Amino acid sequence: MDYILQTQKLCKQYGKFKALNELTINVPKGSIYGMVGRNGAGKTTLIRIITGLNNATSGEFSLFGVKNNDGKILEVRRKTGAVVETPSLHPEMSAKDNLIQQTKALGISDEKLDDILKLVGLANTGKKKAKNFSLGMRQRLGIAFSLVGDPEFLILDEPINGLDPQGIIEVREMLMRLNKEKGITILISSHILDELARLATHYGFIEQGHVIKEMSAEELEKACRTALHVNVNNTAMLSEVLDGMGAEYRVYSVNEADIFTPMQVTPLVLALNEKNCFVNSMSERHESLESYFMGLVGGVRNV
Amino acid sequence: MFNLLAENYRRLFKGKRFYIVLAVIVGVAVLFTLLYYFLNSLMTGIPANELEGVEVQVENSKLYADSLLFTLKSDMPLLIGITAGMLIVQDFRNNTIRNKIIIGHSRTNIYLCTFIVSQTVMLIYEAAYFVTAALVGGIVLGFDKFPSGDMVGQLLMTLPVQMALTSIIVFFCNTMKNIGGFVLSITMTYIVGIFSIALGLLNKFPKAQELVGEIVPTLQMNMILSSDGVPEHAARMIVFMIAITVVSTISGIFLFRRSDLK
Repeated sequence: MDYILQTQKLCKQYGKFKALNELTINVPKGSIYGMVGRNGAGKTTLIRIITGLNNATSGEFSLFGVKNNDGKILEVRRKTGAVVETPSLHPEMSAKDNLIQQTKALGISDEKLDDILKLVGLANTGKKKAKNFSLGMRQRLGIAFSLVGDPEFLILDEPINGLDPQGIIEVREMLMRLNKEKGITILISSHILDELARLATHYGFIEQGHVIKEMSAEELEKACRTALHVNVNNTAMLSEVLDGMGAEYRVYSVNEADIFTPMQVTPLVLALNEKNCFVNSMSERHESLESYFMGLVGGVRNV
Repeated sequence: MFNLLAENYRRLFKGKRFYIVLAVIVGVAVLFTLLYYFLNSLMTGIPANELEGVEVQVENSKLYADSLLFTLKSDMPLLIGITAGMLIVQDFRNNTIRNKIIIGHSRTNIYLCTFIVSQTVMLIYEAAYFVTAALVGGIVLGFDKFPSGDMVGQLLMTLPVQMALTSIIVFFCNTMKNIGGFVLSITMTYIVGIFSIALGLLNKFPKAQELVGEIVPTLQMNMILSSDGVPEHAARMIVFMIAITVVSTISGIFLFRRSDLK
């Protein structure tokens, strides 16, 4: 398998804090690689190192097969586009003027800019300055910036932050189109896991600066278990009963929980009834990316 | 490198700040010319009987455009800093510096480009002031000694000083990456001016005092402006300014390469 990005035991230390701890990921060519992790897990730090904004404390990475300590790394960076956290814009310029700046920096013509603006839904912004844009519009302009150089690898850090539901759908469709039609490999981090699940073909789960698991979407599909989702009046009581049964479960709130161990419903309901725990609803569901991630990082109460 | 320069120049010339400061520079040259003109009129307009008993050599007190050419020299770093310093700091504040690094421009090239653009700003502003003062001043006030070799030499000697000061502006703004760096860069000449009194501590060491006066750009500028012609150690003074430019640029690149960006 060809990889666009591979990291080898990448470390980044700020004082005594290890933001990245021997992080190793492999982003296959042509994939949409979703990075999943809590706040402070190291996702943005990794993106900053790959894009050249930060220097790694130790370890190495290769981009398009070129090692980070190789002089050619600057050449291959030209084939990447990125949005790191907040979009980087010139507030006093219009959307098109902003993109012209990027064409100047790349040394390319600006003939494709109208198409890019159309693609991100900013074709009708005219002379409106970027400082007067809404958060969603800035986000789109940030993505447009990353597309100016016709990148082969797109790195997006929380690209749908601040977008309205329609905007989220549009960005999702745009990214899928870029991936399918132009073959652009995309590395994307997002807190909106449901959205990520609709996009990603591969996943990397990051916790405390370390990749705890890498898998493809198919593998995740297989790994995600079927669960019995229950809504009760008191999950503390539910936990007591399930502990007694030696069942595997996960509690989400005072009312909701998932039970993973296959079991008959009647004995469970009777046992709960004895403890004055009443079942409001019960349904079978497939484990989501979110609950799989929570399971990986220790969200499961009883395994 | 050329792409980066194109990007930087476009940003410079598209912003209003460059033109506002340019207008201020031209305006100051015109205003000073008018001020000199009215002062001259005042002197010549005094009736002779009122000057009885007062020893005034009217010929010596007439203000010519010669001194006008040097009027803004000490304050020029402030004006250069407002345009060039803000251009650099805004790149960091808006995080637009990222856009250049992400697409593979080396930090050395990015620094050198901001250096070149800042020096261009310095040259344009110096030229704008000189041309306005020489044209308007020359027509309205006339020249006394200009263009004598001494005066041209003195004027040329101020350029390496402005170059060194501009490179320090670039260093502060690129290293601190925030408004603090900008404020420091535009106030540095005044801070040095305030502490120049400390030179008195070196009274017993005239050689050291002379050297410090020649090495510190602000003090060297004062030395050039107060001298009657080209200063005695002109070549040495120019070498000092070039050395400051080179050292501040190399150390600025070194620090920029090692720094982590947001």
